[in-house]
Formats: sequence, structure tokens, C-alpha cells
Amino acid sequence: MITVEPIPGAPDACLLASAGLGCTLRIDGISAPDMAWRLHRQGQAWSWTDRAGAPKAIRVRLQRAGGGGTDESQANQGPIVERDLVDGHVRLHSGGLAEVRILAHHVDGDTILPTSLYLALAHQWAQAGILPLHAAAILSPDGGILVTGNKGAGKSTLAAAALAVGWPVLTDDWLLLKASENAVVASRIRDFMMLRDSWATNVLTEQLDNTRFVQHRQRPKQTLRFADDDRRFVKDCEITALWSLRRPRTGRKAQSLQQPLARTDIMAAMIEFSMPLLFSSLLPFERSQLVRTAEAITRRIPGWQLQTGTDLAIIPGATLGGLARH
Amino acid sequence: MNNTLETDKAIAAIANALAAKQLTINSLDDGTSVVLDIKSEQMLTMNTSGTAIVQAIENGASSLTELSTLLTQRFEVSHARASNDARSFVESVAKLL
Repeated sequence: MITVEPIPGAPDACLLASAGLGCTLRIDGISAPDMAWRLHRQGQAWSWTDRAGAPKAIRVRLQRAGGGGTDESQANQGPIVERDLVDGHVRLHSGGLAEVRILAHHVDGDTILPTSLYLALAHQWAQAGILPLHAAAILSPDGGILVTGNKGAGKSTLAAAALAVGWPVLTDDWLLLKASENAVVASRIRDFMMLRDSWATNVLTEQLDNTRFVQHRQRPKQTLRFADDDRRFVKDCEITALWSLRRPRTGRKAQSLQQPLARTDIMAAMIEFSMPLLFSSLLPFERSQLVRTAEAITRRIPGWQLQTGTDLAIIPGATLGGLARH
Repeated sequence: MNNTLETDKAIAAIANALAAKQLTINSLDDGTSVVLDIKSEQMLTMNTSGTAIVQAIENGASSLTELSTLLTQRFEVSHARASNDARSFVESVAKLL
């Protein structure tokens, strides 16, 4: 799990620490309260620009062991990649720091952070071999299951099904992955999950006792915040399998379908659902770190392609149990 | 003759995309790979022969003869089969660029 910490003497900066993965980023240009608000509460906007309306200069750097950050000379050694994204401009130094300017027109929405800031954070995590992934993760009795899939593929519904059968949930959205000598560990980024209103989510939420989803004011979505003392939500977990969700081309079938994935398919999922730029030769240092992580993941965890059926909502226990047994 | 020209163009297109860092070969230790096209954000999963071909192009191979010779040396396959497979492979990859 990620925590936001202030830096004494630097009110306009903060640390983003992931104790579970042993990694800390320093962010200059965003205060600790602003960052904490954005990460852990949803939909609240604050200004990304200075008083004159110009984009604030935000710099992100990985804290090296011993507390030191990337120094300026090191920052200028590797190739530089610049990207104009929908909400800001990013300048990435391979093996060095990341710089972002969020555009004034950016409006905070459902995503945790602006895409451009998220790319800068991901660039720094990549330098530590940490893979940010658009995935859910649930904890079956046999181990953690990573669930990748595009928007609307059913990650959140699957997380709700896990809750309905008493399996803990790590997240339904973005997470961080790290491969150590013996294990693949996932750590959550945000402290809430969101469900789109649908037949399946309604059926599943009716099966959840003592769980308060809050209806989004403007969108057909419900939010569930993770309380610190709620054991149904874990902050970090070991991953032992991957499910790659595919949306059915036509309507959902009655029965969930599963078929094994080759190692290259698992690697492709790691690239597709992280930030592909970080796997390109344009950023050689980050790529080498992430390929090592992704390769270790393909070696250690088996994967399946999965198309969930209506059975997931109607009989979640039998369906998840059957899928996890493979 | 036309076929050879098309194939040579396809090999050159792949070589250029690799040199320009549009294509990146992310290899696995079993000889397979995932080739990322950062321009389109498409991914191509490659078996061992596909990986051997793109790696050879990255290392300077520029003709169908070089690629088919490589395949016959690495895999138990006739020269005619290797030549057909390499031609069809590079032409399909180049079409995706």
C-alpha cells in the first residue's frame, strides 16, 4: 500500500512510500495533504496551476537506498522522452528523474491521478523494477490472483464476487507488482473500489452484508471505501496466478470460460496493462528493469484467459472456486 | 522477382522500425518474445523462429537468403520451407507497421 508522507522543511513536496515493496518516490511540486487527498479521496479537485495560471513544475524521483535521490548529472545521462498527453506534458530522463506540467484545463475525474502524473510516477517505479499494472487482485484460499482486463472487462465485478464469497480483495484497479527471489508481490494504490451499476453488480452487492456502497452523484457507479481495520481488504499480497479478462463480443454467456495462456501472452498482458512506453527501447534503463520483472512473473505464475459468465453473479462461490482450482 | 523485391522492402521496413526504436523486442529466456510497436501500441507475440528472424534483422540481416539460412541452421527445416516461412513472416509483420 502507498502512503503519503510530508518532508520537513519542504511544504510543497512529499514522499510516496510503498513499504510492502521497499520503494519511496519524492515528489516536488505537490504537498503531502494535496497528494493524500487525491490518492485516497475521490473526485476532489485542487489547482494544478500556480497563482498566475501556469502549470506547476512537478518533479518525481526515486529515492535511492540511504535516502539520496537521483542527482542532476545522472538525470541528464540517459535518453530523454517527452510526451504531450491529454492532461499534461511529461519529460522522462531514462535512469533519471521525471518532470510533469499538468495543464490548466485538466479536470479531476474518476481516475486517481492525471495520466501525465501517473506516467511520471510509473517511470520512477520502473527504475526500481516495480511494474504498475491496470489490474485487480483478489486473494483465493490458494493464493493471490491478478486480474487484468480493459475498462469494462469485469475486474470490479470479479472483485465484488470475491467479497461475496469471503475472499479478501487487494484492489479492483491499478496496483504495483514486484518480483523478488521467491515471490511476486502486489501492492494496492488506492483505498476504494468502484462498481458500475449493472445487473451483475446489483446481484452481487445484495449478497454483501455490512457493506456500504455509496452511489456516485453524477455517474451510474458505486464506491466502496476500504476501512483500515476491515480484514476483507488487504494492502499487499503474494500473487500465484493471473487471469486475463476478455470482454465477450456478444452478450455474456451463462458459464465462465477459461483457457491457459502461453508465457508470451502473460508478458504481452504485463506490457498492455502497464504503460507500454516503459517497455520500449526509447527508455532503455526502465525497460531493462521491467523486462526482468515481467519475465520473472511469466516464469513463476501460470495464467489463464477468462471470460466471465452470468454464473459469476448467480453462484459466485462455485464459479470462483472452479476457476481457481485450475 | 517481384516477390523478392516485396520481401526485401518488408525486411528494410522492419529494420528501419527497429533502428528508429519504433519496435522493441522483449525476449523471454525460452527464445520467444513480445515485440512492441510503440507507435500503435500493438504487441506481437513471437515464437522462437519469429524471434530469431527479428533479432537477425536487428543485427543487420537484410535479405531473405540470410534469414532462411539462419532458420535452416537453427531449426530442422528445409531451405525451401524456411524461405517461404521467412518471406510470409516478414511481409505480415511489415504490413502491421
